[in-house]
Amino acid sequence: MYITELIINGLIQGSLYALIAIGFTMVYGILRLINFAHGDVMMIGAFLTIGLLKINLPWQISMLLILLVGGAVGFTIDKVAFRPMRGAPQVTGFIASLALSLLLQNLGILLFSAQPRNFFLPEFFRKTTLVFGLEVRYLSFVIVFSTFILLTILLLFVKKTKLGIAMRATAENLQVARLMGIRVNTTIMVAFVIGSGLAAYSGMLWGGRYGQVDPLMGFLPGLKAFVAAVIGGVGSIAGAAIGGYILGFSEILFVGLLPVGMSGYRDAFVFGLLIIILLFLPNGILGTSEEVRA
Amino acid sequence: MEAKLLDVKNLNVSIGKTHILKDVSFSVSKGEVVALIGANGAGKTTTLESVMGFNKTQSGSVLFHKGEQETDITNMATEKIVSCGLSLCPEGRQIFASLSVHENIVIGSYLRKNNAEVKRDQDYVFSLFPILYKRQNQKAGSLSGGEQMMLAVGRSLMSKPTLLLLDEPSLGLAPLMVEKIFSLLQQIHKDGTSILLVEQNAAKALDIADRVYVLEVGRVAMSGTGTEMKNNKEVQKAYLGIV
Amino acid sequence: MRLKELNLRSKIPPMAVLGLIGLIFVVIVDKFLSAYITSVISFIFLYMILAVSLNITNGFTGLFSLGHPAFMGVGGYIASLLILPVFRKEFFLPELPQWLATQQWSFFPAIVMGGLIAAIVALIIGYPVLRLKDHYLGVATIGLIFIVKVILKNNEQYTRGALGLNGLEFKTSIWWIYFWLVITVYVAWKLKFSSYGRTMLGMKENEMACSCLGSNVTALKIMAFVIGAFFAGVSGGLWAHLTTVITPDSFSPSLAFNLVVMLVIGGTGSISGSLIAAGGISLLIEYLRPLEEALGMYGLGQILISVVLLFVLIFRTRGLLGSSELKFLQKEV
Repeated sequence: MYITELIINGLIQGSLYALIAIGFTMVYGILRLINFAHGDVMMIGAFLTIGLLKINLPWQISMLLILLVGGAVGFTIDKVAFRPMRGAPQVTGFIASLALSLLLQNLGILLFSAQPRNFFLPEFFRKTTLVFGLEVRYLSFVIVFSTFILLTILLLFVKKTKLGIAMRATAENLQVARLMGIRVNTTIMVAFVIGSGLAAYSGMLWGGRYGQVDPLMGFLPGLKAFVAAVIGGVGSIAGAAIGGYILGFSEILFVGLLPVGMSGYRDAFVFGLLIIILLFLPNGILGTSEEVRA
Repeated sequence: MEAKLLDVKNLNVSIGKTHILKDVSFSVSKGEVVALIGANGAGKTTTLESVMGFNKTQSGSVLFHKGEQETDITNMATEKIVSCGLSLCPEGRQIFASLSVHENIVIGSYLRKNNAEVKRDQDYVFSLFPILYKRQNQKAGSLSGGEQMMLAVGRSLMSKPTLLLLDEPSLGLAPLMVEKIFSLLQQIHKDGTSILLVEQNAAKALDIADRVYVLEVGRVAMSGTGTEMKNNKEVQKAYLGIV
Repeated sequence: MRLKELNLRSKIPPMAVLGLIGLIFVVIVDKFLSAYITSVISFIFLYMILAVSLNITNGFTGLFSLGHPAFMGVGGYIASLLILPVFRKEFFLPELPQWLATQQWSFFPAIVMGGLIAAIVALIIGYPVLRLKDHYLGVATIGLIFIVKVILKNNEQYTRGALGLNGLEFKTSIWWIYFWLVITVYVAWKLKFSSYGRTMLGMKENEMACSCLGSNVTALKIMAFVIGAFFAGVSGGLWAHLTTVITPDSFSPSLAFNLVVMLVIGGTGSISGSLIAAGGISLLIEYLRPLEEALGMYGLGQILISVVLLFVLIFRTRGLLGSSELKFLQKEV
């Protein structure tokens, strides 16, 4: 019984991480850039949802809107911060994204104060139903199933459409992609838009699940999404999703199965895992070979 | 006089502080095979890359005749140059290893809209390279060197270029494969594509070229028809190994 | 003419002159200016120590470590635990093991111990982790910050957990900070212009070439990492006894980021550059702090710094001085 609860929670947490990790890996795949600000887009999504809920928009429209606005945020971030830095060394982009992340977090603090706000979940999502004897909220179903749906759509897009193939080609070899006539700046922009849309969407779901939002809520999940992407193999969308679920399950099981005193070590466990994977399995599960070690 | 397809005039290209190309001028006319030969480091790859917009040109011009129009493609963005009708098959083949053979072919036709024509050209490429048809669903990275070369050429053809540029197609290939590639290039030429070829293997290049330019330390040292160059004593000594 | 200049230069090293000027400055501040200004200056000096020590790790070798806050945490807690009077230990940390509960060290040895333990931690972690490249190292070191935080939070017996330790004695006078600043700059300077330092800077440019020439690249990286960590640990102790508080959240990624900003703006590899940048940016931080409170606009300082950095990265990646030092400070003309 308890195991069932852990598995369900693992699925939910895994879905939330997967959504963020995917966007992360899409940008990384093409630009080799670790975008710290990605986690903060998730935070923006959460805050935005609170605003939308206040004006009583039907939730289906809100969900769509969050995806779109998240995409717009991603577009802006690319245009304003990262495009001017194309061609700069890796570390520069890293620092810049860290700067951007702190900028967004502190803007959040400035505008909304650092105090957590309550996330009021609409009636529909709070209804529950029994699954294997457990009360599960509708929200949880929405989280898991919408993640699967979005994931499937994305994988089909990347596999079958010309633009999707172009994105994969650009991720593998940017210069040669240009030789095919692919406008790489557009491809990169699409990666940002899709990734950010998914992150914002995850933020909305995250807020619903945990009932609270604050301007700093995105940093740690953003970092963990990076861990998830590394587990799955950076650059691989399916890998990021798998990594997200592995991470989600690991966290839940770690806290659920170990003695209570150990549960505070959860985050240390996650980052310890990151370091171990970077050292011993740098290509993750599905990733393509890459220079992780000097 | 044949219409000049590609007209490069007094090209000066520096990479960082090194002045690599010095007043390089050459041209390719419609229906020609032109070869750029020269030793390692002579600037051959830099020349092709500069034509395709990968390097910044300090001075000089690159003009391309697209149909009736003469377009100045100097320092144009690579993607735009490709849309004008040039296609480069880069040094070292550089196929997309993580994509399937078929996807590589498809991506070559990225800019084209007419699906029926694209399909016809796909069939054409597969008829030139039947092995690719056989392996079309395999990951391109699993192909042998020679097969990857064929894929690279096929991929370049898919954009239906007016001018096909090739950077060292014989590099790293077994002699038998080199023969095959070059006879295929002649076939492509016969079918109407103009070719600009950069080759270290001077003998092979001179065999199929209509005209040849010899690049030495970033300058055009000599030029002439294929036959003239083949019979030129200096070329024989320096590049053909005939003392 | 030239010969005479050279002679003069080597007789009175410019760094010593600067050190003397600094000393006079400290005297003036301590004797004539308010306690508030003294504490602001103290913070500025502390940031300078941090920036220069990060420069040893990142600037000289080209490593990208964001781990300084982790080492500050280690050093800060060690120093605090050692300095904390026995009766307070009984009050705050009743379950401390006997051998630790009876310790009560004086300031200097405790600070040094903090630095040493931090350096040892760096040595142990550095060996595997420093093999990671660039931004992977960056993320791993951020991970390190969180790991240290978690360990500090979950060992209440030793650290009082999330509550941290407050009411620490104010022991970090401006004199102590200046002392440590001089030491840090001296060590950094000596290192940079030694054969080790030259190799390190070479590594930054082209690691492959250096190792082909026989340099033990890994050993040098670890060396830079450990030295930097030592001073970070020292700074942690100094910080704790300046603010009289230490908690697991005292030293966060945003601190690491601000240090990186100082390095970027001053020029990674330039000691004088990081001193100037550290001075400028920490002045900004300290100046804006009361302003933020007055206006109720928290976070403004951090936003400003982030924006400035983004501008610098886009328009002048080399920062103020690149890898060089201010002209008049250079030994070789």
